Amino acid sequence: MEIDLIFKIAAVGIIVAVLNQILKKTDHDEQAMMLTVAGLVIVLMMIIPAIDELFGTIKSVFGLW
Amino acid sequence: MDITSLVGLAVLSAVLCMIVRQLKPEMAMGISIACGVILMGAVISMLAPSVELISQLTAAAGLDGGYSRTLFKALAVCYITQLGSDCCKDAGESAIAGKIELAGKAAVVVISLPVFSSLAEIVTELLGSA
Repeated sequence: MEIDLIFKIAAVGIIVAVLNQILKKTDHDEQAMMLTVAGLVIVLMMIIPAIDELFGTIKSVFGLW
Repeated sequence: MDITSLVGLAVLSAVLCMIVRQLKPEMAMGISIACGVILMGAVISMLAPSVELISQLTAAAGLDGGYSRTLFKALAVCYITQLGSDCCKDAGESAIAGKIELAGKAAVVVISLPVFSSLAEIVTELLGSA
């Protein structure tokens, strides 16, 4: 179930790259940049819950706080 | 998670990273962070029984439980710091990575201060009785 996260991020990366190239070829450079930023934000939103889970695990295992 | 799935996940992530890095380098960093976080989580969960056993053994030996708790807190800080510093180094920001490591060292010192003060207490006690 956790491997899904890696596949999702890779898929977002490839889709963003393809759309980026299409937009650049059709002279929509600003929109290509916005697309890149949006993709990055989506990826970060996917990663942050995983990091939160990791910190929760570390806290509960090692008795931090 | 057993070790075979961990290794499979790591190798697969490395391959995906390599493919995506040519298209979008920042997405490759996302993959590597996600892979690192997942692996770290699995490893920490694997370590949980041994941490419990060490605490039990410390209690059985009649030692103060606070010492082993301090040890595990310092270990946790080290793991978190290492994760953050590695992510920053991967992103090419070794200056930020160095600052994170410094913060981790400071946090470990702060966590172990009670142990230092109890050591100083024992030393002064011994010197006073001599």
